[in-house]
Amino acid sequence: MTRICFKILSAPIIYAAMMSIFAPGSFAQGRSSQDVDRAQLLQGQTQPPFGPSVTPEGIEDGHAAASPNDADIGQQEILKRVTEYQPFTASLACPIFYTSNVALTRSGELSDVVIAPVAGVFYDPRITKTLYGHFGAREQVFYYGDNTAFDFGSLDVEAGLSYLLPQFHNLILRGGYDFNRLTFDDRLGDEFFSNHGLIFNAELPFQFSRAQQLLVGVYTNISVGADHQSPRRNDYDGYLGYSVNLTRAFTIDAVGRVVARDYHQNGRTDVSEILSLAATYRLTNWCWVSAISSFAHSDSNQDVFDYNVANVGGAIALSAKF
Amino acid sequence: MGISHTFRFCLTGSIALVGAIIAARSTMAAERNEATVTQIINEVQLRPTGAAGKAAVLNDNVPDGTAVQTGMDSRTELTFSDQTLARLSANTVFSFNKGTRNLDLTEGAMLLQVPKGAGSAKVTTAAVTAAITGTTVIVEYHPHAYIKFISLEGTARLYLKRRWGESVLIRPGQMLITNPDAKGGLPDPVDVDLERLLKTAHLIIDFPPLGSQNLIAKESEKQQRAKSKRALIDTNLVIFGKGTLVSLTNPAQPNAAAQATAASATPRSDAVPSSTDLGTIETPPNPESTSTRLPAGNYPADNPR
Repeated sequence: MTRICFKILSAPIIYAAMMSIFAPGSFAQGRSSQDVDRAQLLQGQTQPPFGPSVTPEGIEDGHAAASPNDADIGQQEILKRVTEYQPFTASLACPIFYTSNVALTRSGELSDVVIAPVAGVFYDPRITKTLYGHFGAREQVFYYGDNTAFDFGSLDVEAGLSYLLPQFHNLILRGGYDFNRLTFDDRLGDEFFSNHGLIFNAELPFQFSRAQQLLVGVYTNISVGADHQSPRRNDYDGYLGYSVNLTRAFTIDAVGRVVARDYHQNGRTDVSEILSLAATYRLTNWCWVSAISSFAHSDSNQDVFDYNVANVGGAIALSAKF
Repeated sequence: MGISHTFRFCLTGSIALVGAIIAARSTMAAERNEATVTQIINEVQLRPTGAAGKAAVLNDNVPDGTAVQTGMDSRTELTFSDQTLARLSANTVFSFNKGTRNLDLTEGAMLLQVPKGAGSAKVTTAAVTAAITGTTVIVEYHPHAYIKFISLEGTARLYLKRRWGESVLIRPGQMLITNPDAKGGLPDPVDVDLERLLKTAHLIIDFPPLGSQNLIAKESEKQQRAKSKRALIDTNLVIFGKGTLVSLTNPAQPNAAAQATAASATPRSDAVPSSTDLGTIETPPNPESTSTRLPAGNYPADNPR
């Protein structure tokens, strides 16, 4: 039972870190970098306040001074790229990290290295300008270096809707259904827990500049059915996230969340504080590497379930949109 | 308890994947320590370090450290031992460093073709570096004014020397213009019409065909297909050659492009400083005054859009 509990508990902590890895992909979709904005073309140019002046290097008013050889490099007619919304996403990621508390126990902690490859496919059709559907499946397997008895897999199948309210500061409302199934090791048929949950999420982004964003959100996962009752629970989650693009390719994300977990049996209630930090370098639009970490402190009204855990590692992620 | 086979497999696989990515991005080709002058148009000077300059002649060897300088209305082509080609525009100063595969564009404009399999090359300017592998690009650079980078085929990466992690991929048919002292980061690239550029660039039409000509043609065709699918749309914004001055051509005026071609050689009396998001837009000059000033190999008239 302890093993099952730890597996159910450890997945969201690691998932919190994983969200940081997948985040750049969603930002990439949001950025219409290919939209030809006239401003972009001339960004970075400076306009002197007074009349034209010619410098010794042949620069006039910030432009190359005219010469008979201007045509050497040809004419550059600007084309406008029309970006098409791509509703399908396929993602692969492979985090490897050290965890300080394999079994999420209060005492006798065991540390280990975990490798947790994850694959997911998602379909987010645009129904209206502000309403999107969401369908997806994701499988992640957690392999432990020494404590192989703890290996487990987690499958999520999701369906839902996302609604954007631009008039309320781009508030995003999400609602949907999530089926979660945990299996022993990578034996996908060997289930030890499954849950049917209803998810509700509201998220408010605050864009400070082109490079910085703050997110405030609440999230609930209400269990409406499970095949093992003791690990069954409702999650109530509040979070605050900060993201800064230090450069075009390098992003740092930090998310702090407080989660209340109300178990359906035994009157157990846990409250966890989780801090996730990730630094991501995007090698290409479809490949990025990350340094990830998450730290969690959990208090339960049943002391035996108290624990602290730290996870630190790195990940490589691939994502394709089509 | 031993490490499981699956864990080992995943760990090995991940390390192999990272290794493969690093290897693919590393430089493996031969050094290009010496170049030969293979084309000369008008006045070209070789200026060895610490020695007096001399006029270049065909088949001159250009050792590393020697600056090559072109004069007014002059162009030249250098061919490196690995078949990398550098074509220099007029009023350009260019050199390369021994062993470092650094091609240093001090000022001016050049076309650079690095053949597939020849490894990577770096074009450096004071603040911006372009890493190119198996790519044909055009670079124009004027210190403290701007750097313009156009990829004709292949993908290049531009990055700021003094700002770690700030890099942009320039894909075929894309152009990036930035201030070389860009402190606020690199802007996004824009798409430019390759077909039009290829028909009007003297660094292409005045020289023998490039080794990458077929690849460039394929990229141009790809762009035309994207235009026919309306994924790319023509605009009436054109930069006629060097510089950053964007001319607003009149779609209804059949010869607008050709007429405005000569605009860059005319005084900018009609240049209109506009809002900061547009920079400077130049309207096409009077057709009568420019119709006879078309460049050699001029591009046919703008199609009405």
